[in-house]
Amino acid sequence: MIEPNTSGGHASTDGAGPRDNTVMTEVQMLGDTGEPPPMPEDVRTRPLARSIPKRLRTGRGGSLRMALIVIAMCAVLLGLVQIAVGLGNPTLLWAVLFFTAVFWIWVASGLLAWWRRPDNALGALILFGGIALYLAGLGNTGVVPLVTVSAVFATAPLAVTVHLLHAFPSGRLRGRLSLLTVGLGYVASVGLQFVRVVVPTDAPVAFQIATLAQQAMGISVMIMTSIVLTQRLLAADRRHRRVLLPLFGYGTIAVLLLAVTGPLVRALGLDANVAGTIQLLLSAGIPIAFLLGVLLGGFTRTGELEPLSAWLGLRGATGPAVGRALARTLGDDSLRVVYWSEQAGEYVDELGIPVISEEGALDRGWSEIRVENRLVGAISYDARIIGDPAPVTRAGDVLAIAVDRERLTAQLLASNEALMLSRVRLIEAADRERARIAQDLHDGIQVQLVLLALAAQTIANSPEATPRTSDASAELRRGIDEAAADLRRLVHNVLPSSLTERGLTAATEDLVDRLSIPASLDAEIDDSSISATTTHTAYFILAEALTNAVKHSGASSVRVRLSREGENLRIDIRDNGVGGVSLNQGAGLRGLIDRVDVLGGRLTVDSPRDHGTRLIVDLPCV
Amino acid sequence: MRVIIGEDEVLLREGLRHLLTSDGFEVVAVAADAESLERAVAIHLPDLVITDIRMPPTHTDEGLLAALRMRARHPSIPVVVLSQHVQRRYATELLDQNRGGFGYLLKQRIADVTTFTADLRRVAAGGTALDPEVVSVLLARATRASEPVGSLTPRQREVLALMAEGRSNARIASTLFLSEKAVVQHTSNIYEALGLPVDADDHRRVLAVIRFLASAGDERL
Repeated sequence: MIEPNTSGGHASTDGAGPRDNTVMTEVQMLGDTGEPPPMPEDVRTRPLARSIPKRLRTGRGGSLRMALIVIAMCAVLLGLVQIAVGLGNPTLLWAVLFFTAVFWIWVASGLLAWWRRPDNALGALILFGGIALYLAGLGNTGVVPLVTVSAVFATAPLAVTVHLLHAFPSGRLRGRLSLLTVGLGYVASVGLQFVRVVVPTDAPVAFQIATLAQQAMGISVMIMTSIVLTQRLLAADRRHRRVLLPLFGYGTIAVLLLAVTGPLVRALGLDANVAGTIQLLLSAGIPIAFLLGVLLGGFTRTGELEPLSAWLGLRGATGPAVGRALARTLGDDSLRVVYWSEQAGEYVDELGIPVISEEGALDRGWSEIRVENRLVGAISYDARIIGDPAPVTRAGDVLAIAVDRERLTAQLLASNEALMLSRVRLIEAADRERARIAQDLHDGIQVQLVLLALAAQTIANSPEATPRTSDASAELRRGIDEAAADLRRLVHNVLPSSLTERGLTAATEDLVDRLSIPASLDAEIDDSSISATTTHTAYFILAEALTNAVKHSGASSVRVRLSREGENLRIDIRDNGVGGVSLNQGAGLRGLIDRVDVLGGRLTVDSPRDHGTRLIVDLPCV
Repeated sequence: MRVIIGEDEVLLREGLRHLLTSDGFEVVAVAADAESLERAVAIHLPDLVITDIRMPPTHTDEGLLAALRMRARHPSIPVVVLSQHVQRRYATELLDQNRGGFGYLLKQRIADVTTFTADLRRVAAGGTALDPEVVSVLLARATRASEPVGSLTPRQREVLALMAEGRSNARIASTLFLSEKAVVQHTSNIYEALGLPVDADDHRRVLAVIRFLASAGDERL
């Protein structure tokens, strides 16, 4: 079986096979530039994680894990050191143990949040809170320098909690009021606390002022926090509110209770240990609350940009898959990728449908994608979830490559398409020229030959003509008739009149009728549904193949079948000759292959030696 | 004899008119397209219609389609169809109406005035005139596909071909340099070989031969 690759573009449509499964295949595709970009459906059906080769899913993810493990080990060690030191002060050993446990809860929560969302600072912030708590708890060890440090950081966890409340869920502070509030929180809880600790005991007024300032500032911070959080709750949609409300509620109450428990317990005349216990229990709940917020807030573990870029680079993936992959990587379900259409001067989605720009919308982040300063698209994301625009920008850079590649591919396809069309036009022009020549001969010289012959015969039949003149004129008429017959054959070869008059079936029938060997024709086609170019091409193939069968194959019979196969016209010619036909022999069929190729058809020759020849040609009807 | 000509080529139309007039035909109308031809035929009800296959506006096969319609509408009016190229399919379509009074000839045959006008008169009288080229296609197919035709002698096939063209026994005899008696002997042998009933009417006999040849070739390989 000889199968010429009739057309790169057409043949490849069914050659999508190797785009599945293995890592090897994905890597091989790097060199396979001729491969068309995968169909969106192809990608959609498979989750991103599975389509990224395992080997590529390492990089930063691996080093992050190592770092978090090291931090966890350090935290365990710090806790153990604290306990070890605390053993020297048995009366407060329970407090040391309690503090260490709560410290570990904070660290564990922070690490877990960090691991789940590497690009979110919330995890680090919780971890920071844990360290603040650790420092605050050092006082229980009874070691003098540590007691001082502990006194300075006694209220630091409050400031960190306020910070957490403001930074949730992105991990970043949004708005000046938030920044100011959190800043004041740190000044009050650490700065003024430091003043209170270092003020000499012989200056009670200064201590008093610092305390008052701290209290006033603390109250202000809490009022401002309430305002900010209330605003955010009101602005949030239902889904987010379900997470935000309990978290903000608990956080705010916890901060308030932590601040007032001490004085309250003292006022009630209860043991200071009771206050400490309550405070620790409250603060233990804080990291857990934030961790739950992260876990329950619909925030999946975010991915790394490196595998995303590798994936984009390998697959050249475009369309909906890109948006989904990016949403997954950045952990924001609402993330959308839009493309800038230069023709339309607006943003469109992957299907080319115009979309409303979300640039500057409330709580929406907007990152433009540019290739060499040319706008190609934009990423719209939830600014509440993705606080840091940097990863989005980086993702945009990665995406820009893919988008630009798609643009280049589209350009290439367009020029390829133009080339194909121009080839089709050439064929059509040649066909038109044939038709014109045939028509000119038909209307002009053929008619003239009839009239000339008629004139010659009129002379021959004329009573005045001598017998010699008469004979000569009759001979002349026969000569003209012969010339006319030759011309008729010529016209027939250029373009048979039956093809023009009736179409392919009638013309093929005429062809088969005039063969010198038995031939059968089985035609089940509607001539009117086949374009002129296809009709002509089909006819020339039939004429050439049947001539070959008679002249070279030594066949004693030939069968022709014309049928419709879906959108294609199928020509099936079988003879019982000597076989061994190759498409590389002779110019006849070779020239026709070009025609088949241009029309996007397919030509197959099956010609085993001594077993006849079968030629199958599929041509698009339109 | 009253004739109507359908031919879009002016020179050929006038040539035909001149030829026919000088041979004693009366050309009552000429038409340059199929539609006006059919109108003229309906008005004049001529004794014979001569039409080109290709005519405006599409220059495909409207002359033939008009001929088939006229034969259905006016069964008594004989039609001769002229064409630059002849093929079996058009002949069988004319034959499908199972009546004499039709002709299918190459345009080039006009020049042989004597034969041509004789063909016209025969068709006008209810006979047939098939171009030798079509007959040769029919005969070649039938010879390949049909046992009885294949078993004829070459001389018998020559006689059969001339019969299918619509020639009289006298003409066959003169063409083949045979005696009329020999031709009659050949024809009766041919009828016997093909299993055709002997018909006294010449035209019906010829029609039967053509029909036999046309259908014999349709037998599957």
